[in-house]
Amino acid sequence: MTTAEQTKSVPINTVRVTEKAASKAIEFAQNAGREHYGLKIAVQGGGCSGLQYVLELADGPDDSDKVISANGIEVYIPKRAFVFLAGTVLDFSDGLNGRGFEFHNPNAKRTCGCGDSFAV
Amino acid sequence: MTLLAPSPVLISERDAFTAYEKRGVAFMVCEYGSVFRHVGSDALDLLHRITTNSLIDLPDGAARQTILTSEKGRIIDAPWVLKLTDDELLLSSDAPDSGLMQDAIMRYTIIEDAELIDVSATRTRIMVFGENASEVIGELLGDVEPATDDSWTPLTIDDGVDGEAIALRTDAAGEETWMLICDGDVAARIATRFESLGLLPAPNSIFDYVRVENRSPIAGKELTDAVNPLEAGLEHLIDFDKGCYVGQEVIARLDTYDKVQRHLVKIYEVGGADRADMTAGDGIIGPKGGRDIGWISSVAEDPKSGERLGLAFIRSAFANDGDVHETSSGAQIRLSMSRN
Repeated sequence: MTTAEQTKSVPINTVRVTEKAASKAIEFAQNAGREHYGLKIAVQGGGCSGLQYVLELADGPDDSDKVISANGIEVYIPKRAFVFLAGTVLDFSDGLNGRGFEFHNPNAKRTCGCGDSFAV
Repeated sequence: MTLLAPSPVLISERDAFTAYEKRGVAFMVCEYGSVFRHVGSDALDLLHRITTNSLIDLPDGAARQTILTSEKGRIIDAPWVLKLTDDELLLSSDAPDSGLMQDAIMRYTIIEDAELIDVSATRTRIMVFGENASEVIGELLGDVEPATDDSWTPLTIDDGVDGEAIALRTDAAGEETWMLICDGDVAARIATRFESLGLLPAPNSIFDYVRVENRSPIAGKELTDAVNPLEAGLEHLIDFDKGCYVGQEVIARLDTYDKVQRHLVKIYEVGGADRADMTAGDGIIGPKGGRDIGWISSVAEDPKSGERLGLAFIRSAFANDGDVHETSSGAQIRLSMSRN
């Protein structure tokens, strides 16, 4: 399935984490020796286009986080960031030309050259 | 912005200018601009991420000017950021419409612990400008040594009643310029103290004349979304090594490929009395009646000689010292590339 197809197949009220992205996040957490963890996905102001992604391992969800279970890992998304992320696919691109974690966000009207920031 | 009660003695612009020249310093209570408190543990980090200058390394007690730009690299505002504590900043803007800065910061405040509070109604800004401004600030500070780097100095008014202000050197008028930020009642007492030191309150027209004479741009006139920071000559407010901020790709490209389209220049009105006066907003017509090559952003008048001068943005190819052009209102202007 192409990335465009993946993005289209994600219901607009959720965020999908591909199997590869989930297993990579689990691998990072295990390598860091973490027992309890989840993947925090958020958006903050900054980057060339105004909004930039935040991706980090968290011990657990905050009160205001939406929690999604995806391919063996819990994903925590702050509700205020969810509006910018709804329908997004988080993938992982490896290999020599790989870019690591990649966001395919249908809300992004513009992205900057490095792909880390976007505008809606 | 809280204003001082009008002085009971009316001072003419000419007298105020004569006093400014004689004393080498004057003060002006700002009737424009705004002051915001930006509070929260993420406030500084947020501003660092969305503006041109590096702020993340700003120590407590320091201040730095930065530029908010749009995604297209156009100027929204150029506020001073004063760090009071890790969780509290003070933002000072000269822009007549503070809503632009407020909207831009709020737009990018998503998950951050940061709140922007407009305190303009209770804070007054005073500009002290002229070649002897630092000397006067020194007299006001008493034994306290005024900060000479990018720090602001807390100021206690020594007139028997507690009153505090912040003194920060901004050079906003293009020469020694200090900005004082304080409550309205403290501002009135500072004004009284200045008058006892022989300073006269200057109207905005004198501050603007000095500013224009020194080719110093200000938010709302030169610094608008019609231009980018490089066109306005604000390279010193851009950290080219800090990484991404809103508008960074555009600004970096303009700088790398030397694609700056316009330059900020000083202009003088020339020609006879039969010519129309130049006014801010006039277009500037190219040689031989060609297309517009720029526009006038500020106009000021020498309070003594009446000579009219201004600032204008001119397309780089036409920004030559001494060139004379017509404006859309029929005035004639001469370009000057010198700072003063």
